Amino acid sequence: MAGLKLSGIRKSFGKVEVIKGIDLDIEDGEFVVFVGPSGCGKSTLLRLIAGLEDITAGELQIDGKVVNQVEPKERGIAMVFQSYAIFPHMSVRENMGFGLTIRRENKAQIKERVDEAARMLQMEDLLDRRPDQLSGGQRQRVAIGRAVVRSPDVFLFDEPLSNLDAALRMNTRMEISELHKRLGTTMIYVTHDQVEAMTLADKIVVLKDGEVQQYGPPMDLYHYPANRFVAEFIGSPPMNFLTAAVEQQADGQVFASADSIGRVSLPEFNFVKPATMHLGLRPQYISLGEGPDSHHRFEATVGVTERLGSETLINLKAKDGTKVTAVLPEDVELQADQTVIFNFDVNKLRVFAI
Amino acid sequence: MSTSIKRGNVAGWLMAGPAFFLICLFLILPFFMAIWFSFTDQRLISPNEPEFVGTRNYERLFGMSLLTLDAQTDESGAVKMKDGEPVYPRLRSYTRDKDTYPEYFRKRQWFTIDRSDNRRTFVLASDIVFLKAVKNTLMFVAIVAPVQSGLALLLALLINQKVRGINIFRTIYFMPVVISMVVVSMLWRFIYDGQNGLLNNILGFLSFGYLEPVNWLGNTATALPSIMAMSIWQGVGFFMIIWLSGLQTIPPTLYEASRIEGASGWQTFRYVTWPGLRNTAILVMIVITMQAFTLYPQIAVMTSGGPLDSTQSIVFQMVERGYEKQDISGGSTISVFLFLFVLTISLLQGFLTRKKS
Repeated sequence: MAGLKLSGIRKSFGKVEVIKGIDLDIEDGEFVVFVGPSGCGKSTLLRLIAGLEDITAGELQIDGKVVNQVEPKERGIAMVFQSYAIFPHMSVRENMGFGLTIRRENKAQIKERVDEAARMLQMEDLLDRRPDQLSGGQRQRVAIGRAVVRSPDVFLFDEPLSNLDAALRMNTRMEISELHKRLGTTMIYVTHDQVEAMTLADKIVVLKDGEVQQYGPPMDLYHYPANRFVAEFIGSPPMNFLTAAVEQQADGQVFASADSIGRVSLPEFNFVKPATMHLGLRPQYISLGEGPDSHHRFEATVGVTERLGSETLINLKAKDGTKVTAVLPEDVELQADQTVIFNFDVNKLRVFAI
Repeated sequence: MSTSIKRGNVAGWLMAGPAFFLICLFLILPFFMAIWFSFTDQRLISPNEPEFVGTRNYERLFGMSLLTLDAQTDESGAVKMKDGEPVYPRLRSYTRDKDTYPEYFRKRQWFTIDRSDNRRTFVLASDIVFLKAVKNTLMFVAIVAPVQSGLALLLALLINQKVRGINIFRTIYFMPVVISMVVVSMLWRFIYDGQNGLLNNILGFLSFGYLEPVNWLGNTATALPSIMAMSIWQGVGFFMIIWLSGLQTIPPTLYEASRIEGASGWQTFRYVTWPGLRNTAILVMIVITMQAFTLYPQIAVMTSGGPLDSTQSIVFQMVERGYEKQDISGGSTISVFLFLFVLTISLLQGFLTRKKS
């Protein structure tokens, strides 16, 4: 078991800087998810932690020790790859015991530890098969099993579910979550899928262009995104953004005037000076009708309706033509091109600099 | 619909036709003709019609007999000795006497085995040159195949690295492959020259004149090994490229996984690289073996089978019989033998390396 400390980590490939100075504290036993669009450097960051790439600048500590120059096998880590990286000519048992075999542990002990890991992952019946006799999900389970057998201080997952189909992805996701609960080991997990990030993480690191955008518990990121990028990335469907002029009245009240939804008061906003800003509003917070008096109301024209079963996505066009998405209850009936009144709680509005 | 398919077929056959015709004419037909010739007394140019002779050609190639003789004794019954060796009766009295010893007629001594109590077994063969060619070819295969493939793998591992200018090395190693074997053999004849050859000069220089010049190609002990060394050098680049292509099909994440598991360089090779090269290895082994069996241009250019038949090879004998001696049936017999022999070995290799389920 170990915590990690990243200080000013940088990585360049030739002249291209991929990781631009990352500071992170990951506590012992935490499940941390690196999330971001492709090319944001999340996989590179994981490979730096694993020791598969050299750190250009900065310091990486695992369990209080600087490991910049330490070989991967000495770092107390285990890694699960997107492509599984199972050795194709070895049986599942040999694959899982590989690390112990090459360390020349005695056979009885290898067997015991492999059996134990297999029992934990409910894959005892697979042990004597060969990788080509396994489905994608089973292969990934073998890869996870191989990591478990190493009993590492830190688990590293590099998009482990990306090659699986949707149903299997959900199952395996839950299994990984259970594994974390049972082992209590520090886990670092890379994904581009914000749903995986939200469901698995104790803390999420949102990355973009090699920089940390925000680091915190999932619901903090959901409710209080630090910037427009995080707001857009976390949550589905993505947050609506409306351009508005923010200003302060003589009595101290702060207002935002938007052509799309009119004049909204921003009771929680920390005003500095008048400016044009983006108002962020999650589709889930928009309701049909006039709502309570404290809510803000706006008119919009109904566009395409998408029914997901449990909820209905409505694409709206606000007065000035800005597109707004609303998530409404399952059986809501709205005609296309109909102009309807919607409302939302002004306290749910987030304000972002442009 | 059906007409268009039919027309398509006609067009297809027309296009394949010339190649198909040529393949039949120059590959398939000669193949069967050779089998037929090997049972006749066909000659290259002859006024007589060839006749069917059954397996006589094969008997001539492989005819062997054992003749065990007692050492000669003098009147007192003691064994006659000459230069510390017992004296045996003259072989000629057996091999030239068709009426008394038809089984030994025209056979020559291949080698002998000394027995106890002053007896000696003479192994007689009707075609010693051919048997020497078979032995040399087998030696050539037994040494060239493993050494060449091993060396090629080593080079492939070396150049399969992301290092600046690695393509220069790839090119250098591959260069001999592009040069014709005949040209290479000509060049190496100068290198191996007994007087002022490059090799002798280098060895003399490095040993400060301690090593005497060796007539590499003129010595029965060094001629075949010299040709082996040159052949390995010439072909190693080709197999290096094949190994390299095999190496590059191994997913890099397997190496990363084994690195994280803590595998050493040797363990990585043993558990990741080598198993990943299985199919490549089978291909390389079979191709190298087949190529080595057809050893010819080096011999023809460098030694013509000499000195003292120490570099005779099966294919060289085949060509010499068929064209130099104009004995097409004899050459055909050797080629049929070579075909069956290589086929057997390839099938055996295929069987031994089959995928066990």
